[in-house]
Amino acid sequence: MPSKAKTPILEVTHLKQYFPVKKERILEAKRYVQAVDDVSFSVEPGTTVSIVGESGCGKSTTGRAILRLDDPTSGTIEYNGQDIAKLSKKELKAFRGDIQVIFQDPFASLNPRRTIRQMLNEAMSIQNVMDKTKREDRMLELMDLVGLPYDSLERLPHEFSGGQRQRLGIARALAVNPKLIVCDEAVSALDVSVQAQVLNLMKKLQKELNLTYLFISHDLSVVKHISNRIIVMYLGKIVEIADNEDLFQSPRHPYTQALLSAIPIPDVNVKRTQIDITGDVPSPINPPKGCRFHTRCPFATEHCRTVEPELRTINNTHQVSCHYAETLSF
Amino acid sequence: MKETLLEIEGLKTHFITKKGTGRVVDGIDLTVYKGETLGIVGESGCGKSMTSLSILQLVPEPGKIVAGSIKLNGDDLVTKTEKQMQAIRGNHISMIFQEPMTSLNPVITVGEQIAETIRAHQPISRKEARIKSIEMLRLVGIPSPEERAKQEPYQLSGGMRQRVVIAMALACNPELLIADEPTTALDVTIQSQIIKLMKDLQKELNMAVLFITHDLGVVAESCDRVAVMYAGEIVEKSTTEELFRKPKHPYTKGLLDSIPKINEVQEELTPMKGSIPSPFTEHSGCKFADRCPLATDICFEQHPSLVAYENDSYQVRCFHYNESTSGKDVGHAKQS
Repeated sequence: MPSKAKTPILEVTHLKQYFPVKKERILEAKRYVQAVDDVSFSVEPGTTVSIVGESGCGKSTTGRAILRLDDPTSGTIEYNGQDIAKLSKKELKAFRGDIQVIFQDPFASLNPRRTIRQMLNEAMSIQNVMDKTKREDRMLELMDLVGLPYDSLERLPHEFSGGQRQRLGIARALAVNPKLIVCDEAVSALDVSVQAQVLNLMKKLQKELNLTYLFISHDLSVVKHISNRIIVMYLGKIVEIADNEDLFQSPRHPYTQALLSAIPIPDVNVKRTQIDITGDVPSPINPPKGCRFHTRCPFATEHCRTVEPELRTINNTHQVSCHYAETLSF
Repeated sequence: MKETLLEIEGLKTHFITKKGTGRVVDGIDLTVYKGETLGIVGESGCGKSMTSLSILQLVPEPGKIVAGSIKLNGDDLVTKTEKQMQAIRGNHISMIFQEPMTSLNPVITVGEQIAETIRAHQPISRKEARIKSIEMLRLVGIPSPEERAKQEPYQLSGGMRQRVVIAMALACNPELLIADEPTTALDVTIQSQIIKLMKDLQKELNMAVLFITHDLGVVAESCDRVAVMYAGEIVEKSTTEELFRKPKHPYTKGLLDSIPKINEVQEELTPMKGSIPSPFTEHSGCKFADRCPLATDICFEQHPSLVAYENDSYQVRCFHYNESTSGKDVGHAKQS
């Protein structure tokens, strides 16, 4: 990784996450879904790092491992230099306060029978964020932060619209003063006009509270808007990591290029070179040998079918895992 | 001259409940010409899906078409009986939905399902239907269709399932295909495959497509003309090119401004304020007025009508349309 002055807030090293598959026959060898297979990256404080990819690429599984919702098969995740798998009970509680998550469907993550006040109060008392007497002020402050009226506190989740619920999800995450927020498809369920409001809000909060975001999304235009650094995943592997501008200006992996060219652009004047990739994503139970993308890659050679490419650095901030990253031109 | 296939006039689909009347579709005029793709675009709750269900007479309770006509080749569908409609659905108008799994029977092979559809509409033998179903699977680009026909839906990927649903919808050569968010549940690389497939098939089979979507990017890619809907009404209607070159209605502009642009750097997005009104809200003026940056007194008092400009090449429902396009293009306005 490029050495900058800052130490990373999050460091993921050789993370593997395999899930066993139910046997179909008794004597069959045990099989695994290789949801995440040897993934390494780091996140610097105060920045937004995004993970993009299509369904089944392992982006959400990576997020879950970072939240310590699943224990990794192998590899380590370090938060501020501490291995999160080895935290003591007390440390784990503090960790849970530092890292928060916002999911796609805000309604599913809000208790339908609790008022917003009860919800925020519970979060704050579990983490013991502040004195009981000051909590009231904190709640009003939170409502201000996410742009909801004060009387929202007395209401139930069903009384809010989708965009408002996502604001509540954000308020709930902010209630415990987190440092890092994992946003798993946080704006995907929202209509564009509301999505824009929530994205602006998230950017504003990041500046004000010096938050770090790990933003997981399938939507490249949203990712482009919010990220400093972008990780592209395919079938459990990282295919490319680069700074925002670098990735969009000069993608080096054919898959990244295909993803970029597949986005429909709301402008009839933009003509782009389309790389057609045929077929579907192969099964992660039995991923292709060699480069995992070779079955769909228009540039694949015999070498790609047999030798798996390493994720290697091609200039100081740009990493890509393709044998022909330097020579391909799209 | 373009030939009219479907003509919707003054369509109102209301939901009458104890809470009041929900004006989900509130006075829509729309023409679909033979062989074209017409997009209907709007955010959730704007009435775009209910418009398409109205065309097929499939509006769920307590919804009801309370006014207007829907003419297919001059024949009004609103007055048809359920039995007559059954002969029209599938044969003349087909529909595909967002989530292919909900349109497929999970325990019947896909080949059988397509054959069943064909036999429901055409008097052919089982054997012929089976051959036709394999032909249809080949047409939608499914590799080794003979094998795939024997598989059940769970054995296919999402993109494949959507291809099967398209095969089923097109099996009886409909004149109009209504596609309601057909690519929304798919990954982008699969989405672009399906859009390309639909375009190719449309040319090959010479059918018209009514493409319903929330994604302006998809509209730019696949439609000839577009209608933008807001709160049950069409607020702007024009060719796709005109719409993206020069959006007229403040809502259309707001929508376009809200989308993060992939080809430029933006510090901040410009979202519209507020959110869409409930269909139960009573409006005396323009339904968009309280979110509109251009709204004046007249917008809250009078309801603007959809006015055609420049020989009908586009239509806009806005009192301030000329201001929102910086004063140019003063067409000879006529009431539509």
